[in-house]
Amino acid sequence: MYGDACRTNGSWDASGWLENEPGGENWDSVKEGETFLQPSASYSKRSSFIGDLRSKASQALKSQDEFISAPTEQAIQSAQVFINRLPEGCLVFRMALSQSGEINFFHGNDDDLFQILIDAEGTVSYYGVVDGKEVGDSNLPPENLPYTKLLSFVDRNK
Amino acid sequence: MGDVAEGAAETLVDPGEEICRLCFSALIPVFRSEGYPNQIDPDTGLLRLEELAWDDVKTRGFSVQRRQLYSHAEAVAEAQSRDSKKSQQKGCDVRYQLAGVLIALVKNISAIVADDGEPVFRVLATPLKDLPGHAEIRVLGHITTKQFLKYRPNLRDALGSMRVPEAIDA
Repeated sequence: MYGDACRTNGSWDASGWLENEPGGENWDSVKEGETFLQPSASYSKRSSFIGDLRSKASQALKSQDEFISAPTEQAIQSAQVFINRLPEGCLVFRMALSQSGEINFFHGNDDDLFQILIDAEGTVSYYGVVDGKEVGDSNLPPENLPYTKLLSFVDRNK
Repeated sequence: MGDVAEGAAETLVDPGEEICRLCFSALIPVFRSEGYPNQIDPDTGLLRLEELAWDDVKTRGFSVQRRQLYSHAEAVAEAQSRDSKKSQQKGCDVRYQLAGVLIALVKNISAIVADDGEPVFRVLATPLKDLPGHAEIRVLGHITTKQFLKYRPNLRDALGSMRVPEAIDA
């Protein structure tokens, strides 16, 4: 049910969980021994990807030299928006940094790829083939990415 | 890499020439937690796509060397120089070394054409003071990021599988 809503809206709202965390507005009402709702698998996956992204970016920052640039904060912020907006069915991908600080996401396999690239300005470009048609665009804000097309690509490859 | 040679004009490298791109390895990851400097995808034996960065081909230039003006000894010296710098930066012995080399015919790179029939990439001779064979792969001015993504796998394929470093002199 929730997954369907997520697919329709193309976004995921974590605020419900955060309200029940220490410091959250519902925290005082939590009783000892009370059963908690567990975060969904997709929430855990998104958190894990964002943690991995931050870790890679931090490592890149420590390694900067004439050949290596770390991702900018704008790029990291856009990547986080992208990860949080991914439909639930699109949470299997490979994430990789370029030496120039770009953040890459690869869905699919080498013969049939859907590529997403986030540049230093935080804009997003993408390219893939969905239902026999090429889809792609350049330099979009992450909010404007057509997540339904990516979902169609992933669904077709299942 | 070095200063641009004085008075050097950017010219296209002859299509019949070969260019090479050095690949490195290290004892510890010096950039990412994994995947660098292991630049080759173990599943395909080809360069990882993320090694072909938009900023490189659009702005900075994707550095390569013209094979006929380069040598294995220079490649080894480059790796030693990087090893020294990286070990100093990391505060430990990173054992940065030459893992291999990608060698490609320039005409195979120029043969990657967009839907309009125009080439996507070109190889420019960009000699440096200490590296007369330095060259750069760049996209043509009208190519968009979306088009680069479309043709990035073709460029990776044109660069081919990694060979032993000694192949530079072969």
